[in-house]
Amino acid sequence: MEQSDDALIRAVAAGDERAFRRLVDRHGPKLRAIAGQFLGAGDADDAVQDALIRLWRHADRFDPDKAALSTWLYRVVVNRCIDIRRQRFRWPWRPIDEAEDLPSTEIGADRMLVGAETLRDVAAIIASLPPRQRMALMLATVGDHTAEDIAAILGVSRAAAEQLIARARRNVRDAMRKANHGSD
Amino acid sequence: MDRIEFENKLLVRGGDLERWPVAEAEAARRLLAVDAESRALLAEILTSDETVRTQTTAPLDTALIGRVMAATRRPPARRGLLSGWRPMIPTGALAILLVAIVGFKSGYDDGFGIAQDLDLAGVIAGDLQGLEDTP
Repeated sequence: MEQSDDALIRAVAAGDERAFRRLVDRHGPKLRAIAGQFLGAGDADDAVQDALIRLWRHADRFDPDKAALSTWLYRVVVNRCIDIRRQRFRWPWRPIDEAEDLPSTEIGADRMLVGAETLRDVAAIIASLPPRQRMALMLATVGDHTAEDIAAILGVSRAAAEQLIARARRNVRDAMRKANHGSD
Repeated sequence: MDRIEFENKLLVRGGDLERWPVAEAEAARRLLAVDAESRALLAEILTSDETVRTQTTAPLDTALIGRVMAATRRPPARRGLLSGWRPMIPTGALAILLVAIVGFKSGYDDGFGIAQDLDLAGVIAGDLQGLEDTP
């Protein structure tokens, strides 16, 4: 039977390297997938490495009653992504509670499909989403997080998180519909 | 639940009904049993979510795993006496303070102790007084 994150983190706090390796294998690829949507390969690796090493070093301070391990881990990676993007590209990551007023950042299927010809180009569709939608989509699909988790990870209200997830999924779905119809 | 409500929830919660709140999942299943268009909406979201997952996720690079696991073989950095204060002290300030202390102390140790300083001050003051008294 697969051990829970809580059981593994307790073992990690006691210095169990094998338990740590299992957490790395369980969460590492998803964390890397999310970081890879926002950073170049080197920076994405660094963000994931930072988060995982922090997990090893501070496992004894982790309190499962306060937050789920995965929520904490993803939050660390998301914050590293935002920090690095700010440093490198001056990415305007505004407080996300402004999400209620997002129509200007929502993009149409036409624009998303620039360079995307088939369903295989879904990577291009994801890349063309506004950053906050992309983050919410990745956390929901790859990270398997609920809107409540995503709200905690991004530090936003649950309503704002739900709106971001819904808009992202709708954008991707509409773009895929268009791609499907275009290939008919 | 009608189709519009179902679609709105689908976009937020995704296509895995097992992860929906029980009452909402039950209502959704009742709708799906009778509405082909809702079933098509569900299939679309399942496909697009799965495509996002498969297009973005890959096994972690072995070199990255190696670097992460190497950290487990290094003891955590110990907190020093000044570790809590260190971020508040500008770079170089400690060096400047040290030089100032050494300079101050060596000045006294080289024969200019505080007693001599007072004597010297007295001599200068006396000289000035003497000059003022000079007719």
